[in-house]
Amino acid sequence: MDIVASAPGIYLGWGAFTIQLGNLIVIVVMLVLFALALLLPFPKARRRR
Amino acid sequence: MSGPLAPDGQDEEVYTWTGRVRRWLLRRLPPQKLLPQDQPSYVSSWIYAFGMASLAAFAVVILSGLVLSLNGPAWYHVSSLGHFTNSVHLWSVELFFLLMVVHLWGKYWMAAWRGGRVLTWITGVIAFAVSIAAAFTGYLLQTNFDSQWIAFEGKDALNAVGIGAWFNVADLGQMFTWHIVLLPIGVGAIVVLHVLLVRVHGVVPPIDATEEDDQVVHAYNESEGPR
Repeated sequence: MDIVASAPGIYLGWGAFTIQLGNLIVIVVMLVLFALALLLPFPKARRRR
Repeated sequence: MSGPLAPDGQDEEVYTWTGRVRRWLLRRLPPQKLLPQDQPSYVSSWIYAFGMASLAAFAVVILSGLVLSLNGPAWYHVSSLGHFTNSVHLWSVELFFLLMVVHLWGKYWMAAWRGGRVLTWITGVIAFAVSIAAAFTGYLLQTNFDSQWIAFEGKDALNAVGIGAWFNVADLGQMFTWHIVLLPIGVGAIVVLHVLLVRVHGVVPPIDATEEDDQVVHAYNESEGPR
């Protein structure tokens, strides 16, 4: 709890653009999941008519 | 009461409002649509899994939140199990939003509002918005300097739009009511409506599928019930 309240967090910046590392990680994970969901084959159903 | 009823209740004589409501419900959402045994083959893609995955994360959010609310802050701030449950609640919310966003991207690029599915899309948008409000009130309940900071950053904006009297972020008791009663009921009700609408209209077919496509015509049609 104290750690959360006192930690400033890690910020990355390129010019005028700034983002917190945690937020960047979440966005990258979402993009990777989206790409994998489109690319990875879906397992076949056990029984399909 | 002569003979078995047709699945859609059409053979039944209807003369009360309850009967009419039941007939309407059975026509809109017969059991074969509510709990289908099979899905069309175009649903065989991981991108269609994210709606259900969001629901699974939401279930963990509700269950862990229930445990937290029953035991109270004096428990989840001091005991190890309380800390753990608090973390499960936080990370299931993170997952809920992450999965919901991927679900949103998938449905956006499918133009999933096609074929009379506008209300399904709109309820999804509302569920997302109300979830953000619910998550915000969750941050206010940390009862630490972080939550104090968030509350006093947020109160001016809320006062400026004129809702500060009913949504007072500096009032911890009120925020508890919003977070553990009103907003979960709101999110839950909209999500239930969203899922029922998905069942009524069926999963949106791919953009390049024609209206005459056998998969589209017979998507939920095992019993040849009404669509």
